[in-house]
Amino acid sequence: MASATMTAPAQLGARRIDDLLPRINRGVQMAFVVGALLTLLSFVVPAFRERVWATYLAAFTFYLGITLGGLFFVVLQHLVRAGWSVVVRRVAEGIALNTKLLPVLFIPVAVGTYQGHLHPAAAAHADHGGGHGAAHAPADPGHAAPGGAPAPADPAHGAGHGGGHHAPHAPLKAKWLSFPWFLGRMLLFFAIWYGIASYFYGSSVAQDQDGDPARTSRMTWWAAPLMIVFALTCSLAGFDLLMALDPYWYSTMFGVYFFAGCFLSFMATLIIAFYVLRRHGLAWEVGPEHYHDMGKFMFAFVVFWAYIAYSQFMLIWYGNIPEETVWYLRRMEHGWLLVSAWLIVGHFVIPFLALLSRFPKRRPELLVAGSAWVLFVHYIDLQWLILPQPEAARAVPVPLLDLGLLLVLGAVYVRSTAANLTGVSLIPERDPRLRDSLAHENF
Amino acid sequence: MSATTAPAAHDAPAIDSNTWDDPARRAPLVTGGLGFRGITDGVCGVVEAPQPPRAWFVAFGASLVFLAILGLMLGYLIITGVGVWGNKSPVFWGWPIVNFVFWVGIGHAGTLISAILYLFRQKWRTGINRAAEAMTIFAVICAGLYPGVHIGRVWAAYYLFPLPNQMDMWPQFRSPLMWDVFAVNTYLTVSALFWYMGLVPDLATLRDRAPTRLRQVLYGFFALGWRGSNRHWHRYERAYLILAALATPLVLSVHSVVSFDFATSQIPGWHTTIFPPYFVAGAIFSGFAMVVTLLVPARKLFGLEHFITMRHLENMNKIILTTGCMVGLAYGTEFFIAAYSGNPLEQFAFLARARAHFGWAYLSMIFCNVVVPQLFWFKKLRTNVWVMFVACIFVNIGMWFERFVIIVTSLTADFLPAAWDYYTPTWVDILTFAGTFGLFMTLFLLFCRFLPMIAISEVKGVLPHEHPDLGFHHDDHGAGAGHGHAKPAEVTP
Repeated sequence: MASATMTAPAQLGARRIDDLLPRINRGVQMAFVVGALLTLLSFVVPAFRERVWATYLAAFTFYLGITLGGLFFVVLQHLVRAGWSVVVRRVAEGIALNTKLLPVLFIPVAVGTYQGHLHPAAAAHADHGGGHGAAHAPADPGHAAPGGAPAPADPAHGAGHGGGHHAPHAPLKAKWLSFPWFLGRMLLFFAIWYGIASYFYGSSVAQDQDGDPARTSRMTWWAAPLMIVFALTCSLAGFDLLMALDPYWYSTMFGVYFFAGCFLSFMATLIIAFYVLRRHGLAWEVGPEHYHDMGKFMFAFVVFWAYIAYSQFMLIWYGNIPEETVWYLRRMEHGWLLVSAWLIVGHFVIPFLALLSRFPKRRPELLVAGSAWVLFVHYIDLQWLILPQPEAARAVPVPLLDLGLLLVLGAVYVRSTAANLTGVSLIPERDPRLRDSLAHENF
Repeated sequence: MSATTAPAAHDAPAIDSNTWDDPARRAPLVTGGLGFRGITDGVCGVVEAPQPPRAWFVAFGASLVFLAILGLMLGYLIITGVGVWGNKSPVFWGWPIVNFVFWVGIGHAGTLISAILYLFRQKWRTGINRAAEAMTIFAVICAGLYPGVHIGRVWAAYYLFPLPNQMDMWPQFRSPLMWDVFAVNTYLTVSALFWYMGLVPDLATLRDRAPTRLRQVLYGFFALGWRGSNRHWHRYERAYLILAALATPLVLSVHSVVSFDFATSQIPGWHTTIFPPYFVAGAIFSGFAMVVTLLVPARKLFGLEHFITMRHLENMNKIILTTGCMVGLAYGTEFFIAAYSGNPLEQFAFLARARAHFGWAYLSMIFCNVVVPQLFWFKKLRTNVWVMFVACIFVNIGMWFERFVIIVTSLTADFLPAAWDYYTPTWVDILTFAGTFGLFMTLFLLFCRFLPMIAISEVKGVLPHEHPDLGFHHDDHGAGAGHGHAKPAEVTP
């Protein structure tokens, strides 16, 4: 049944990033330097210095999310045998391949966690309490009185966890959240994600050489089990990186929430990436029909995010159980209430209205503005998830530091993506479904 | 795609295989070499045949018997009171709510197929959407029955709606049960609209072909004067897209709201935030299983194998596998978080589910919902009508048990140990549930007999020659350069 080898359609245009590399490098270097300067500048103020770990976690999770979104996108396109997306898939594969960069970017998170600046339960010296604000770490045998109210110095926690019947001190949980296990799991996830990403990237690039449609069939076959692996690892990573910032709090929905943000930020990134490539005369095959579809995906996930966020909030608000509501209460004090309200408007209402009609989705200039907005509010969402935790000084963020770290990591990230795509076609030029994608129309 | 047989609808040409996995060729969605004429004849032939197949009469008779049982049970219930059911402290929500959620869940496939799969451009949906939508509406009718009779004083059922009245009594708007009334009614209304709108062009076809005057008048009345003009089609397409966009959030909202009935409470096992998407996935899972259960015999009985092809069934089985895995993931997440939370109440509730009195129900649920769908990893099994028929019945049973497990096990052992008790349904419970199958099947069989089971106009729209660009023809690869659409895309400024 297998068809003959595929050939690249004759009308494909410029599709190599290689000539662009010097310019990308210049931009990346500039962004890195500016970002580093901003970061250092904000270090001058001691109050900012305390926040650097949590802010770094936000910036790291931001790029992690984009990468995971890309990974999901690539696996999904193969799983459903999508035709329209072939022309945009290579760049997505390049983004997903940044999973190899993640362990490096993760080092400061690991260090911060080890030193007790981030995940209190995973802090190595959690039992010394005191200086790190990690006094209520579940790993702490000193606080292991069953049902004891932890950390009297922390009013938010006192209120939330006075209920008494939950037992975060349970040895199993303490072990699960402890630093070696946390680190081990994260490294395992990075390895799995890198394995998946490099498989799809490698196969797809190899197909450019041999045009063998059987590769597509094999990728389709693997996509199904790997999707399950992705679902498990992605939600567990969400639990580990973000939910465990408060070791007492739990929500079964959290993994889905994390995933929604990942995919949303990835779609926005993909749109921006193609906009930039197009400005430089590359990948002209990606036309309004494809922007339209990417825009639809982004719109869908704006709504999906809102659906998940609303369901999680409403159920916890309605149930009104102190050990759950404390998480939201913390996001309603110290100025965070404004941010919470802002998320409803900025993360849902504005992009919903802006992306609802067909008009902006088919115009790259407008859609790219929408994507930039989505990335911005998604980052706010990450801050909202991370910073109100007691360990992160609870205060509203410092734009200077955020911008600095986002630029530094972003520079590394863009450089890595460009490197992934160097020497390969930006379009999977001999994919058997490329014709579907080129001829794609939204009716 | 070797169309070897003549396009004659009634002499059953050989069923072509269209389940191949060659990425370079999209499979045809109508087999047997049928063209426009063959499609119209094949679908209308079912309705126009002077007599339905004998099996139809047998099934219809059996359905009527069960429908009569439903009538008797409801009569008995209304005359006697809700005490005839097994609902008692602490399980005030027994079978009636289990069955309500079960039927609402079944009703999720139709609108998913017609709305969400439409937005995702899944062309294969055209072969199954009509029957699935019909099934959706009938399932929601069965579901709607339960809250109506569960309130005890059936004659006061209109209090469910916020009607102004002289007693100034209003429903409790803060209650998710109230939201349910709105969610399910909206869903029923939009699904019925969607279904009926899709039927209009096909009713006009039946009108134009009607062998008797009575049929002509009746189909003509419901065809709303459809003449198939360009303007009609234009508006039809617009309306379809808009309705699809409106129905898409409804697919998620209905079962999300149903899940709120449980998740807003504080009962361990009910109060968990993953419920909304988990319920939606489960609903789609059970809905597709029911579609497969119904369409496997129906396509054979009415000779519709060229429209509801093996590929359609295979795709549905893949969706069942996917949603089955999602449901499994949700079960796992619940267990994981129960362990992770360190909350002894949560842990107790979940361990009790798996190990205490209702452990058998829990194991049935896991077996039917998580284990059985794994059969569909194998192409041989998911393209075998017997395997899929049996597996899908298992899925239906499993999804019923899921609701039973959630509702009953959490209630039997709640916060007040003194009140803990085992739950047993009464014979009225059982016969009422059996009776709703009678209602469901009666409506479905009438639909099969009197309305076009396949969306004729939509199926015609997915014939290969309607989409020359989409790689249906394996012989013209590389000829893309000469194509109108294949030039580098222009961006509108």
